[in-house]
Amino acid sequence: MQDISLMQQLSRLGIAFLSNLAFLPFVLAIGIILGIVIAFVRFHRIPVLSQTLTVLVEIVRGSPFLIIVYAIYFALPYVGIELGAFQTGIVVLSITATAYLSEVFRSGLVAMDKGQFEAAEALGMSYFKKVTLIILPQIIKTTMPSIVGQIVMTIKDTSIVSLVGMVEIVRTSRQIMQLTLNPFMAFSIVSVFFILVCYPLIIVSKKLEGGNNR
Amino acid sequence: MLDMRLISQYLPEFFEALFETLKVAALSGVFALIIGTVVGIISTMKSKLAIIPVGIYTGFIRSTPLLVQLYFVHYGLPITGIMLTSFQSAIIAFSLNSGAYISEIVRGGLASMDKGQSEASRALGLSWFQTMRLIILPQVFKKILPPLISQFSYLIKDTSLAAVLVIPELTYTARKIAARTYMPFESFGVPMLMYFGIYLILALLSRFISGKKEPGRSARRWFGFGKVV
Repeated sequence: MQDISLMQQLSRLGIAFLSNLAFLPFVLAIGIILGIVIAFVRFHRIPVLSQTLTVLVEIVRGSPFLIIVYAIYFALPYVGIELGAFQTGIVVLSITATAYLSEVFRSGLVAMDKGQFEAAEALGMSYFKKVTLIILPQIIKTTMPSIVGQIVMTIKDTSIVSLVGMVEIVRTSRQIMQLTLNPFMAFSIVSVFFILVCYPLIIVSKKLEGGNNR
Repeated sequence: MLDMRLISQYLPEFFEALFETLKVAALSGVFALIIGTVVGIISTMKSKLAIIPVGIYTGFIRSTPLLVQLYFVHYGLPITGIMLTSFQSAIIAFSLNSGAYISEIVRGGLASMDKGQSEASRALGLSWFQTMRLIILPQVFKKILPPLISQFSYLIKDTSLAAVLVIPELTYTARKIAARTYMPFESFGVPMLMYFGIYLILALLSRFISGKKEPGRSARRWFGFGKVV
């Protein structure tokens, strides 16, 4: 048994938590962009592409995150792609975020008033203008609660990337636990870090949902 | 191409693992339903003494990763003198986790009930407990069945974390066979199809049930918008 002061534990785990949060900008950017593209492809029912994407999205949504992580982790070297732990994390987190977000955006598209499309068309807007100026801003607004929900899910899922070798907060906490033999302290600190970030987001998501319904 | 011989060779093992997954999910599901119902009822009470602990419980569960909760139970409880097998730890962690989400669903269901229902049954001389058991809860459960099914679908996916505690369920078995055979596509493809099959059955079931009551609306809501955090 070895004594590591509370301050040392806090700083080590805090620094490790930054690697969890470092995933977020990459995963969100990829997830939102690809999610929107897939949503539009499926919304317009572009033949073959639309059906293929539907199946892929549903398979990802139907599978546990951990098995996707393991599958990618084992399969990538098999097809000759060597990725570090962080890159593997970005790939798996982005795949999941894209699948869920595409469904969120598609639901937003389906729920949108048809008149919006028709009005934009009547004004002579090009497809690109119509989408970027009229459709997307409204969809982003109505789906905001789900987007924030997805952010919370992604942050929580980063912990699972520790299982394929990513050194982040949960892995660090287990290392500390093995030194101090005090699991409560290490895991409590980890929980506090996650709560500090995720709980406010959950509240925001709920507030936004309430605002949209009114 | 996929190696069919390998798949058929390991198929019995995969089905055994599927059974283990379903066993963990079913056991956790039953406990989660009990926890969720009790906590859900408590959360509708006016007293601060009731609301604050419930708020801390659901807030903690929803803000922290399930993996951390699993570690808490598996490595934390033995320190307090409670010795648990991996299987027991997994069931406790999944029940507590799912219970928190179910409590929110139950609370929503209770809140949507007409006040007249409980007033009428109290006027008829039924006790509070009888009112809950005979009048309110049956109606609530009928109403919240679709979201409960979705929650069970998430629970099945969450049980994959039991692999971390070396419980021979689907994800653990897939990993083991992948490491043994160096055939990742076959080893992960079969279990993923199994998970997908369960997901599809539950999604269709939920859609069917909710479609009967309010055509197509709540199914879209529960299966269209991802996990409710």
